[in-house]
Amino acid sequence: MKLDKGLIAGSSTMLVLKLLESGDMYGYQMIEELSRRSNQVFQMQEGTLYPILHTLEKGKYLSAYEQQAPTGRMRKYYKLTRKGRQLLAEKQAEWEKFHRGVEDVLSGGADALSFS
Amino acid sequence: MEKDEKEKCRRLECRENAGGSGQTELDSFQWLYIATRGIRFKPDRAAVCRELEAHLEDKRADLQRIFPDLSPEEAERRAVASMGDAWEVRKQLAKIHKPWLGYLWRASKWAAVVLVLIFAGVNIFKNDYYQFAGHPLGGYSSAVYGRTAGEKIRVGGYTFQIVGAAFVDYPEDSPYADGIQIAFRVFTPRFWEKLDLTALQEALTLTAADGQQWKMDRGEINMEVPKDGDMVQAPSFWQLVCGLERASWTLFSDTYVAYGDPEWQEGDWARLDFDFGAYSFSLTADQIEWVMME
Amino acid sequence: MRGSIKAWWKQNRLGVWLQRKLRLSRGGKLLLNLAVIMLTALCLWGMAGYPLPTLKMEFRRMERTYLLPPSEILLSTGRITAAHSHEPYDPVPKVTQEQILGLGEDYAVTFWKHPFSNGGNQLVCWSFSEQPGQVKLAPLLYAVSDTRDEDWPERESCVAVAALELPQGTARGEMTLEAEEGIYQEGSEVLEHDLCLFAFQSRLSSYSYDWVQGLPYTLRFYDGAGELLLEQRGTVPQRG
Repeated sequence: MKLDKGLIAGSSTMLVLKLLESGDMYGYQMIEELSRRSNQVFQMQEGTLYPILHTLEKGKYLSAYEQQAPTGRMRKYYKLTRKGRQLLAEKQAEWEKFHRGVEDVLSGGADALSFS
Repeated sequence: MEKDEKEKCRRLECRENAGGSGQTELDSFQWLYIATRGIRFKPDRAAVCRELEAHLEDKRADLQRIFPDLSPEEAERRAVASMGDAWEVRKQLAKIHKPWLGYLWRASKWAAVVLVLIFAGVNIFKNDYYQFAGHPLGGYSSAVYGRTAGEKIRVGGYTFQIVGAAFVDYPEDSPYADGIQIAFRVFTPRFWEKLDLTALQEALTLTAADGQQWKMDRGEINMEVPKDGDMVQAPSFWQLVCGLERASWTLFSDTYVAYGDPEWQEGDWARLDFDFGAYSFSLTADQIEWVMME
Repeated sequence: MRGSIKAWWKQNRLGVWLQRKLRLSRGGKLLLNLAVIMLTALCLWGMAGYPLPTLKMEFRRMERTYLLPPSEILLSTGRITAAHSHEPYDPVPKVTQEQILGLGEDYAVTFWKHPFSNGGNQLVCWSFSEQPGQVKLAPLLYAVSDTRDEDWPERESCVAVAALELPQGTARGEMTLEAEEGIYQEGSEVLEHDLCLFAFQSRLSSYSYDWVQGLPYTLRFYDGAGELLLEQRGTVPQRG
């Protein structure tokens, strides 16, 4: 199912960081993994993954290295740095708060209005 | 890259810039070209292009694996489609990969290489023009005897200190003449304006305990040494009996030796009198060491 | 060719070791390059004798290395508009070698910058207490180019003598030198900073730059109306 682009974009950074938490990956691998884990819900436009990766690399949240693939071509692998782990934790916390807030509104709770 | 391919891409760019339709069918080459064109620094662009190209290849191979009866052209089309809007990616990549640091680095690389080559060349060929000043980092031309550390006087940014005081005694049959050598060091942190040697020579007078004085703006040389039969010796071998010469230098200091030939007894002192235009002062060497030479 | 150098660099053991040890970002590599540039430039500057950009800076530095207090600059290199008794030739002597004339408390300094080698710069102190007369002289160290002679329009053959501490109201001066080969006579208007500059052109084909030094001279100074204010005899001071 094709989700609203806006919903995906905001959390893409967090998802990418989370993927790399479990190990080093290269670009195409990430797309596949994301799709698999979300049961085909997230199928982000593959071209837009790389700007995210490069931004994170420039900000020193990821480090990159090249390794030769079995096909013979060089693949660029990304690795989460300590700074990246911190960012992931922050984003996850942020997401939890947002998620709880939305849940509260949807369930029509009395304290839903105090969503800060 | 093929010239006509590039031309095709350029026309696509023009169409896009003029506000034309952005949903043209692109092949992988064109998609990559457009997506990476925003990265101005070539090595960066090449690296990103390689990464995206690898992705496209993987996608194409995967599609052909999942749908074995897919034609190569169709696989390519679907792979490119899944990459998304080339113009959008181009904008984002251009924002991330700014060329300035790349250009600066490249310029610094060339400048560093050129300078190092000039420096190496100059050192190898040792042009006289550069040798006039002597190597700035340090040098040595004669020894200092009777090392000591006298008081320091600081004047006009220069620090003067006696660092050696010796009476050099040669054997009776040696062609060298006996005499006193008072070595002093002039230090300044401003290595580009070290004390002028001519000014120092005009300002300095050496006084010995027996009352004799020698002005350092003139000298006396012993040309007898070292004799090699009847051969005339080169100036570099002559012995300075009275006068001033530079013994060694570093980046921040020069060590000079003042020579004189008094009637010397053990316990005698010697004094350096400095008389510059604005400053006059003296340094005294109380303990002159007696040095026997072989 | 660049490709093969790159390939060699990547394979070379030293290159591999360096790359592993210095895994710098591009910014880090840039800083390293800048450090190398600064260091090499500094060394080259040192080997050239630490040249400074302007003549005035060189002069001030030389004063410091002579432990002299800073003097007032009276003349600096460039066109000297000294009118001469030989009119109507238009061209006036102009200084070709870079020089500065400075005035201290009781001395004048002349500074000459060697055209090629910074180590060859010269500074000479002309003490006033050693000169008995009222008007003090300071010979400039090196030649001034004189374009007055028709046959030799651009000849560097003049040596100039500056006269300082002129009598009040002087409008122009005249200097006569008695040399072996004959008498030289030159005139000069009073220039900025109250000094006269007499430029003498040697008649000998070979001469040293300080040929005027040590020669007997006669100075005469006149006011605006042509009245003689002062006549002074003496010997041109000598260097060293």
